Amino acid sequence: MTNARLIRQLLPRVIPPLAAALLFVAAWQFVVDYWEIKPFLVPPPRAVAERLLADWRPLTRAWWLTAQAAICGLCLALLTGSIVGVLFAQSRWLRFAFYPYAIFLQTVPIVAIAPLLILWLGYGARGVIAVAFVLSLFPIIANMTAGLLSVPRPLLELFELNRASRWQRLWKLQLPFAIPYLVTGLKTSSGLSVIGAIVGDFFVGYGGQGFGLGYLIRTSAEGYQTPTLFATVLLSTLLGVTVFATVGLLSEFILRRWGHD
Amino acid sequence: MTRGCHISIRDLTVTFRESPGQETISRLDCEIEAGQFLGLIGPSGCGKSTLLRCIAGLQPAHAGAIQQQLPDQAEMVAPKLAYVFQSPTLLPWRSVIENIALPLELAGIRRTERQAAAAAAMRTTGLRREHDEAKLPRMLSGGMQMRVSLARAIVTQPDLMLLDEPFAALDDISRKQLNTELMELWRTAGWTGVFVTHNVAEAVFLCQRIVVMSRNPGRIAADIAIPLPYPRASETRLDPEYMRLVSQVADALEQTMRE
Repeated sequence: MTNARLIRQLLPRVIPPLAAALLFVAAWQFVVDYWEIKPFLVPPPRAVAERLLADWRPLTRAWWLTAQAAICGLCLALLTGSIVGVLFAQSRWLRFAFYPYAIFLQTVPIVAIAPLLILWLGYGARGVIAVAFVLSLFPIIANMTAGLLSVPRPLLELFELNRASRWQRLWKLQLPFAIPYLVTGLKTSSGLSVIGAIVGDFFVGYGGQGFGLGYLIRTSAEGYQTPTLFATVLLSTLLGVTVFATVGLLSEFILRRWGHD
Repeated sequence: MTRGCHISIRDLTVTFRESPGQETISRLDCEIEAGQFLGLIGPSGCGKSTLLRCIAGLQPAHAGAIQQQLPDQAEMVAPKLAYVFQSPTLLPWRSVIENIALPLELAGIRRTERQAAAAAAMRTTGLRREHDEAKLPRMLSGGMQMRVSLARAIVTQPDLMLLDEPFAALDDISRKQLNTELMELWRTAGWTGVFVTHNVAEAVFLCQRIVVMSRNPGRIAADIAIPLPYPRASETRLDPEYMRLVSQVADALEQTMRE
């Protein structure tokens, strides 16, 4: 692809959201000025920008800490979820017995389970990663299992006719077939892992190891430091978008071979 | 060069679990000689695909037996079998040559050996190695995908080739071209072929013998020899004898639909 073409393709995807953001900031400033809203309720954009600039060092450190926890949780979920999916696809009884409890992961209120996880795993990074892990596990299990079990019958019969072993069928047919499903699960989980890391950090922080975005959200809310709260929320969103976009790019690269271009 | 295997079907009855009282195939007997190219034709639901799947061992029979035997083989050696599905059933993440080599890979044949065999199969089926081997299936047309599917079927040098309406989804030109190529493959390799189709003209053009099946339950309604000489070419389609045979088979088929 030539540079000119790349730019022509990217421009329509960059300019409109940027324009929308500018419009939003302008409207925000106008509303705050016009109705003279108190800064501790809605701070003006300038105050948030100032906070971001003044505190950029602790803010970026918090951002990075939360990002690390989210990525670690997501990677652990990818590994565990894939293995659980393979086990579920291999044994019907295992699936029947445990799949309903896997759904539990999806429905459990994370605010209830986060303090428990912290209690078991202790304060610090381990607890935060565990919350991110629990929250992002289910979509990976569900999609991996579905992918492994969705192989069309003729393909399975082709392997049967060639007397493929169970292992060959799994390794050469089911796993490659499930990759696009797994990637879809990973995309869903990428957003959840960020939420998990923030929620985990919200409850515990990292003890003596510093603090992440969740801790900042809590302390700034409790202290009515609304500009810091706004700045933190902005950074949290940015983190979510970054992780999601990275996984999205990665999946596009992987799926090219599978014909999803 | 393979010799083809003899198939003997005795008293075959198939019922599906979903409809226990109803026999899809009922007490069917059929002998297929080694190296014969047999066409299986009949109305939808007559059990012709089921019969093919029974021969392949993909569908269990309720009663009866199917024996496959290679000629001059005192001890029982299982004949090598290839199956061509209605759709090309290629693995979308594998290149053309990796798809063709798959049966050999599953049999544990070494990489260099299976690459060589796959390249030979490509040549035989009219695929150009340097041009097509690295392509992914989705980059190919329907006709080319079917060629890859055929190449994968012949790569093991089978004794028995089972084809389940392989060209049904293709346009007329590709279908005729692939018919001629399939016929050549059979003539040079010598396997026993069972070809399921809806298309009377295709069956008469390809086969030495056509079995017409009737439905409810699936039975043999007519067994028609096609004594046209090989090689058959596009001129064959203009031969009065060919036309007579086509209308004979079509009449037999119509008869089964009326019943």
